[in-house]
Amino acid sequence: MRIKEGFILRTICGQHVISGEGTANVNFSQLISLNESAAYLFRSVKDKDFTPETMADLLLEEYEVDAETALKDAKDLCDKWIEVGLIASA
Amino acid sequence: MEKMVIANDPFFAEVVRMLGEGKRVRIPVKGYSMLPFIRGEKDEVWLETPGEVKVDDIVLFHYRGRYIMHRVIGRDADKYIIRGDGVPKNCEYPLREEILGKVVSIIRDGVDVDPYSEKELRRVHLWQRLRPLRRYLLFFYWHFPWNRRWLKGE
Repeated sequence: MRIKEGFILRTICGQHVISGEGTANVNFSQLISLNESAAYLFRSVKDKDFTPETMADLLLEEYEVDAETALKDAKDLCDKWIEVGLIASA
Repeated sequence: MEKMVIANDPFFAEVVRMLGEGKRVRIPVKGYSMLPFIRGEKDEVWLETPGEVKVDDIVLFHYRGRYIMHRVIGRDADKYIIRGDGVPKNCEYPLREEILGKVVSIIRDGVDVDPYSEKELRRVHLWQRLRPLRRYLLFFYWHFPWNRRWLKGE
């Protein structure tokens, strides 16, 4: 899977948010909020193919968390990103 | 998905920054001061950098520390006279440099509406002529059964 083109991560007032953005248009009407670890994952996997396992590995590299929890969190996050239309299947 | 809340000032600062880069920006609308033409919590608008500012334009401006989106109704020397369509009396008087964006499209029920089409401006001008009655018309508007649920945020 892959993050769809045109989604940009911004930090507004300390909050990480993703907005849809083209070369000429920015859509602030549907912002997706991310916590710190989700923002880290978004930055890490943007423009790359990835799986929940890739994301779990990234979480293990950055945070003190056990493998099982990392994989569960990564899968939950992927499900959420699919639900909001952020991810396209590879 | 739960609704995101971002403080007004940093949100609009980002919007203005994007407009400064020459981009069109789509934002949701809060508040009811542009009723009946823009419905807060329901409609969205596309903004662009203002360029020339004319009477009837709906503009985003920064006035006395607040970001406001209302309609230009006139000009007085170096200041613009601006009033919300849903505001019976009060006006704002920003300078040109305080006007940061112009509404170029309203998204009503998912459909793009040109706020400056002949038909739309006819309705606006009729609404403006009825301004002495605005308070009462808005009262009825608020109490239409089909508006009541949305205005109560249900």
